[in-house]
Amino acid sequence: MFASLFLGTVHIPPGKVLAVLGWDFQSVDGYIVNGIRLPRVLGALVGGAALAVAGALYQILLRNPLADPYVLGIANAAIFFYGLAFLVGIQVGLPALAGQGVYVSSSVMGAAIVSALLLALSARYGTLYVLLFGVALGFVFGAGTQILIALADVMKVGAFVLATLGTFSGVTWDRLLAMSVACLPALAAALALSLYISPYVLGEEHAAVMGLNVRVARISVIAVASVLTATVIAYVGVVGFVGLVGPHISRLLLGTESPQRLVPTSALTGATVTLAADDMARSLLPPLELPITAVTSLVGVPVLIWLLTRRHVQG
Amino acid sequence: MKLSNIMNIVLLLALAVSIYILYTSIADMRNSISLLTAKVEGELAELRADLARINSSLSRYDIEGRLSDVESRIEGLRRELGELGALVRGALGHRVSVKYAAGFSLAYDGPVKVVVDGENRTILLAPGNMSDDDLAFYVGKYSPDLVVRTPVERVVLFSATQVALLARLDEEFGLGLLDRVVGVAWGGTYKWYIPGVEERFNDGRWTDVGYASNPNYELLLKLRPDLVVIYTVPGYEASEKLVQRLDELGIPYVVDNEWREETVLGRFEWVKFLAAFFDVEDRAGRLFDMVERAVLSYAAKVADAGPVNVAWFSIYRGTVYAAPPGSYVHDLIRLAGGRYLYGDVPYVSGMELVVKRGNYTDVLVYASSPEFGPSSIGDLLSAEPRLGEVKAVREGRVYLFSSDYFQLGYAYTELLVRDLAAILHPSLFQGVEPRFFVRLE
Amino acid sequence: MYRVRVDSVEAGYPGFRVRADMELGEGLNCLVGPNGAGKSTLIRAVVGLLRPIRGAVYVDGVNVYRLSPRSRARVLTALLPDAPTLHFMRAIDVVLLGRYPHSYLLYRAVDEAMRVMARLGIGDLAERRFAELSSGQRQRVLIARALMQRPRALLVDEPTVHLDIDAKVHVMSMLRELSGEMAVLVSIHEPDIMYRFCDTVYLVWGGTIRYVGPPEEAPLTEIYAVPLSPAIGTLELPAPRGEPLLHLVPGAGTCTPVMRRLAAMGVPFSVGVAHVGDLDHFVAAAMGAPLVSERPYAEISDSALEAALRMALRSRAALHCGCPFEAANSRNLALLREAAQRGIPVYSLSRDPPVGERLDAAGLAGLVRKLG
Repeated sequence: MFASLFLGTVHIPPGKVLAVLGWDFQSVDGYIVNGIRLPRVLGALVGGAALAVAGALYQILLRNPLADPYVLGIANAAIFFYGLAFLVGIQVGLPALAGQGVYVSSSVMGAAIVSALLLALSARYGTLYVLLFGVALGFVFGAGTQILIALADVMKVGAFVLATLGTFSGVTWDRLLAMSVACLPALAAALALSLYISPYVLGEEHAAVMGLNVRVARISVIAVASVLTATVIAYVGVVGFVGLVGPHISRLLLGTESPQRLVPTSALTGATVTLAADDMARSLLPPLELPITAVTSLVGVPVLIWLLTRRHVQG
Repeated sequence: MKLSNIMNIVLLLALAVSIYILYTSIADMRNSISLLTAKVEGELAELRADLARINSSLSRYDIEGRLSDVESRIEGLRRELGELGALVRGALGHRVSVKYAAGFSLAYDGPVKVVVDGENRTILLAPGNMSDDDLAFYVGKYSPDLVVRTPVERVVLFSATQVALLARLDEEFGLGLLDRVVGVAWGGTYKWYIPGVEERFNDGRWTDVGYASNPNYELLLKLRPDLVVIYTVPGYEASEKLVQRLDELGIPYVVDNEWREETVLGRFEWVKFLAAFFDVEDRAGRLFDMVERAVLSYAAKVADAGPVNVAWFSIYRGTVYAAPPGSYVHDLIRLAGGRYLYGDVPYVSGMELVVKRGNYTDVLVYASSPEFGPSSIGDLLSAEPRLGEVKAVREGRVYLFSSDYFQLGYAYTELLVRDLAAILHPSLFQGVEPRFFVRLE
Repeated sequence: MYRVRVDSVEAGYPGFRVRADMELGEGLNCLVGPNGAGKSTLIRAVVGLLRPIRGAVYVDGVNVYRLSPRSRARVLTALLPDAPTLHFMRAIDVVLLGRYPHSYLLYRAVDEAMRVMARLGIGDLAERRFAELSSGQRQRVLIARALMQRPRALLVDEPTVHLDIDAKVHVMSMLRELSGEMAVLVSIHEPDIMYRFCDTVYLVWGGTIRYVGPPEEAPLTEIYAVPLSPAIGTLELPAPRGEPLLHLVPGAGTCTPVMRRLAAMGVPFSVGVAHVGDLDHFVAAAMGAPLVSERPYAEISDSALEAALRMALRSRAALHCGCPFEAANSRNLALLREAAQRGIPVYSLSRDPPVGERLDAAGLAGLVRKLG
């Protein structure tokens, strides 16, 4: 994490970084370190942890190793509403978020609508139905976005596609604070939830006869994971792969799928992978900044493959 | 005496009396004639005296010299008239050359024109009255991708900048080119800032053929256009499909890729390309010469003013989307007497660079319009607080595009250059209010 | 002792309902019935996985439907037939999960989990991965998990389905042993298991409980088309119909494997004379083959001999299954000799045939081909 502060599109000597770290917001270099890099590094940690934990929760709930934070269509909905604002000019937003820009208010709106629908459904229907509905909803919004793109001005589409790729470069101290206010309690809730849903690894029915209130578990998992995912989408955008690969790396490293160990360690692996990916995004081809999603795959996939083959050799 | 003798005597007497009377009246007449003659001669003498006076005054004002001057002017006018005649005949033979544009070419061969368009397709423009045999000769000579009979009468346009360019030609020369447009790919996705366009759609003179990336081909066929003017984006799937479909359907089209030009004048020069199909490229050439003169005069005016550092980007969630180096924008800034600060940066970059160069940034053009961009500097800062480190933001020298920038700015290229030059060097352009840029309060 | 009362519980899905009244006392209670009879539905309804349409389940007088899922899991639990798919978790981790209704901090129960596993004879499996265990070992790990809940009633749905016979016996013995400490209800569909382990049988068929009582008297023949011999607790194939090809001369169970082979090959046969109580008699009777009987240990009567001879003469051949001839069955030898004299080919599976041509067990198929 410390090393991340030395990396960036602008080269600042390490001694200078240490000299200004933490107090100097006046000089240009000081501002770059304290005003740009520090919140960005912390944002990557919080965001990565949030995504990996949301992914872990969904993987446990849906008992599907391919589940990620976007499996229930949240990202597609967020992108669709942003597209509506950016490509068509129809802005659906919450007045409270007006100051945060079009993307934040539109995408939060999208994520909130989907989450609310899923929560309402999960109170009445079983997990499988919620999954099917979520995936279907994702497809609907995905199709909606494609229509928007088909109708839009060609020149705008490129900018739109770039804009939908997540990045941590927009994390300022204010936004880090807002993000943390939403994410940290949700992460704490996820930890508590990981104890509550521990029998879920055996399957929903096994868990039910072991005294788990499946309905409460389902609702709270979706609620907590939605808050985490929606918050990250709002402030960072759609960052792929971390939510999928973070839990898997923990699972392979620890050799367990027990939620009470998987959830906290996913937070750590997610934060680490994301930070490493963001470091690479910033420093691989300066002054170009790569989209983080491309880099998370670059970082995460080799680790995952190495762990998988190592386990295979052992087995 | 016999009665007959008496009658004879009477007759003789009457005759003698008549002769007498006649004689006396002739004498009277002779008398009055001589009187008249004397009178006329007197007056003639007076006239002669007058003439002598006039003659003497004439020689005093050098009328001869003046007359020859008038004659030489008439001669000059006659010569210009001859040149004008040549220009009018130029529809068949006079050449308009391409100086700046890299994306198209225009050549003449006897009665035909050969155009290479934005996709490197060869298009043969033949006069409408050329015989098929003659046409076959030229087709054999050039084996073109498309033959267009000019002037075209039913045209479909695919972008608002094309509409704007024809509108400007109409405005300057009253050519009525927009009346030969029958359809525009609009799709209702944006607002029009070009006067008269909405009425043309409303009263049905123009048909909206749908989205430029995916038009309604049935409508397009139904319009039976002589020519469809499209643009393409290389590597973009929708573009490839559009071209493929038009080929399949046999709709005559030409690719107008002015947007890919990297110089300001090169981009505007596409006005000649468009005009060639209407056989009015001589007029387009005159418009271009005028714009060129204006642009170069603004550039000359600011040449010695000392460079002003300009940033030209938009920011979205901390990612900086700067105008790429070597682009149209780069050239525009250079002409307006600015130094582009991000000439070394690819399209996408980060806030660290913006802050690092913050103190050198004299003027920021925030690449967005009032509809989508920030409404004030405070708004801009709340979306991206780190822009507070940029001098131009602190000093309030932040500009957005006007709402009609993307539609009309290009058709009035000389005003774009003037606006930017005025923004960068306000002291040299006192009283100039930017037409296509809006200052952020 | 623990008593579970299932009071008019009615449950099901659209188009299918099952209804039950049960009182589970000591001993192993078995829910028996063919597939689709509603055993699983009933168990799922009792344990609360399926919301019952009406009725109540009382454990020691407490209606468990009124309890929260967590409290209910402390009173009764179930073992479900589909084994969970796990990749990494060790056996002990799975057992520890049983602690859940008592405490969220599962790891504190490691000692108890080890004790339970040791008691079930799987202490040495604790560190092994659940995924690497055999089906029988997994089943025992899951039983240990259930015991960690310290329930007063345990419902087990199809515990023996995928197990080999050793594991079946092992698991059923374990459940039987547990039935001394808590009410245990096991659903099974294999009659041989039922006859050997169950104390009380609840026979489920057609959406309701048709019979409650000891397994021996359970009217399985009404439910299953396949013949059962309750005394031996095995199922048999029905005897092939048609003109008998072979007449079998039985005794001391020697014909039982022959009859099963012939039934499997679809070859009709007749049997006689067999003594009541002889294994051959049980099997032949269960199969429904033409059979001539004699009272246990009695010498074969004239009429029985006469009847058996008539059968033998109608066959293409007679086969002596190899039973030695002693006082009670000596006239079966006479039967064979008479048949041989009258032109019926006689074969014997005996190593030292007292009559007819010797045939070894492997030659049976060849003989059938020759005759057929």
